[in-house]
Amino acid sequence: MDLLVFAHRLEAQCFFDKHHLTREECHFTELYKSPHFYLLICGEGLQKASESMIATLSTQTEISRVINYGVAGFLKPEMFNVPPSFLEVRCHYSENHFHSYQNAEANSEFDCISAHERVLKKEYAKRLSLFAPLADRESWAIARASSLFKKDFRSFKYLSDFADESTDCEDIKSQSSVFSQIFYKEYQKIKPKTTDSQEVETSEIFPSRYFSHGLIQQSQKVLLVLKNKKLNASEIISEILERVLASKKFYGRGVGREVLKELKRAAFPQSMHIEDHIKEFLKEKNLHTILRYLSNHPQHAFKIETPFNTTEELQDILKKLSVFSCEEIDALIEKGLSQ
Amino acid sequence: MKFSQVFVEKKIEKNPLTHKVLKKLQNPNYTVIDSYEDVFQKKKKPYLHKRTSLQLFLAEKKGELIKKAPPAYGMSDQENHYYFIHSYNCIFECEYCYLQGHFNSPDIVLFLNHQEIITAISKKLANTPEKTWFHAGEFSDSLALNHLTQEWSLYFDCFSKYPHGILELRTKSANIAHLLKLKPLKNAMVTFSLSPEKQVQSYDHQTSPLKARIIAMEKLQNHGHPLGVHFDPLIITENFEQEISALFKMMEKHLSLTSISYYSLGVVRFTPEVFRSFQKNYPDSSILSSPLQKSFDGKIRYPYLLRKFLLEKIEEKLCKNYDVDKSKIYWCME
Repeated sequence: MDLLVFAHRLEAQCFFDKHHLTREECHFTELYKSPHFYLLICGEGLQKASESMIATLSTQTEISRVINYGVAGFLKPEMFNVPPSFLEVRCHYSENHFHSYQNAEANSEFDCISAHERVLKKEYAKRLSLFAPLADRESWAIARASSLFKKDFRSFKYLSDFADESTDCEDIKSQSSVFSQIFYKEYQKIKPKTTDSQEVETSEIFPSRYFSHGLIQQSQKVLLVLKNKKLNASEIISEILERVLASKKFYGRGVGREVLKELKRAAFPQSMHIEDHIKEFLKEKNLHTILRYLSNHPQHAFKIETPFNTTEELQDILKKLSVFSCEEIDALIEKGLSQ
Repeated sequence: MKFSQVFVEKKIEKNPLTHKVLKKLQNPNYTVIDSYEDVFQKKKKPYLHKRTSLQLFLAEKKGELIKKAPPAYGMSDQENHYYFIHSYNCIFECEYCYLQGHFNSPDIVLFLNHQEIITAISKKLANTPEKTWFHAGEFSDSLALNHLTQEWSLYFDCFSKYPHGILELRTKSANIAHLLKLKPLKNAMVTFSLSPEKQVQSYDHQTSPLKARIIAMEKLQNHGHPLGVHFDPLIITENFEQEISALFKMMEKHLSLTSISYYSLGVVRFTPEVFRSFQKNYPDSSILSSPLQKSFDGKIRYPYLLRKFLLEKIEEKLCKNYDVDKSKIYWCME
């Protein structure tokens, strides 16, 4: 569900007029809810906006996207010639903070800097204009809170005036109902997201009885490789899962481990092919119980893994190891790489 | 090249080189600032904003003007390797570029106090009798904006006095007009990063096309400038061997490969921070579908065997098919 955020109630007036909004109990915030969206009046300034956003997002978990509507002043005189008076912001900066936050889908080229006080002096406007052409008072804090809670964020601004000594805050306030109608009209163009498709996908693809959290993470990395190879990753995984289950050789998380192995085989056929050759080689030489091939080692390497507690046993191991040849391994690898 | 905003440091506003650059930019509107550091990297600016709103800073380099290069940087660890910084960031956009995770802004900073940098180089060379390399292009492309700055004549003058000092200008640009006006020096090398054509088209956005780079190399070679080649980064593809063969054939048609001073080979690699930025900036890049993994030094690169395979294949082809002396080939950062 969307959370619509406004600094002042008047800017949201049209939404109050056209929807049945009820006040939500949410700490100290002015939060409202309709069957279709939440609406927050966050107040003016970075601190107020931060506080109300954090309070809202930490309690209202069904919010999936945050949209901020508000007014901004332009900081450069040349912006007078920019035709759109309503635009989407691309990136949000703050006067006193290093981090910046980008809008989820912005095609715009306009960035906005959130100032700590109202921009009413030319010198102040000039200083801020080094970083962005637009200034407002709160969108950076709204963007930051959205980012912390991993919510999609978009921000739209109505360009009210050139921010300097000529700014009359009362004038801007008196136009709020006009802005509000524009915001309402523009919101109708954006369809709200209702489900978190990523989560649905994950739980459907990786049933928890077969996949631990760690296995899911590893499998997702491999899936990314498959997706980049333009392969249908979910089709491949369900096919592998079906095959592994049909073999009846694996149970519980063992199924997940086997699926991951097969996935790797699909994603990195060459590496897995080499690994198979090496395992086969170790078995032939009767070394598979003594040596383990370390596939994740930065250089190809083996680990001696066998217990002993007498000199005879040690000599027996050394005798077995004497048939091991690094040259043969190199040849196997060479063969594997050229296939 | 159109910059969205130009900043000039107050102390170099009257510098003739500043005027020269501003004149060439045909952009009389600029903002005077005390120090480029007051704006550059002051806020984290998304890397891909370079596509639409790239800012330019004309500034003075402070602090260390020459820096010791990391191990395995150059041809031989026995020789001294330094790099100097004449600019930050690049107008090109290579998907694997480490600059996307290095600076907190993609904006370009051109340092114009070349005389000071040259004095630092001269001082080092006067006190070091051994062969000593100075690499340009650690944080930028050496030639991409050379039509604006034209600084290399000053460096050539310096290196002509120190034959044991070697200057390396590293580039992916065919912007060589200025270099063709300079008298070649045996110890001033122009080195080009080359990759198979398909790779250049897929990953090296805004750079000079492969053929343009090779033709630029041909012109420089004919003019007498020593050349070097970086096959870096090597990226595995299904037709790696055919693509490399095609690249070598194209090079052979225009260049004397045995006259190239050295070949440096390197396989694609990322520090963890750069890799995170790369994943974010280019989520659909096919580089992500190659078998990258965390390596012994924490960097993300191919498994050792695959790296060895790629490096040996190139080395073998250069030596066997093109009579390149093996001593001219080195593996970079391996």
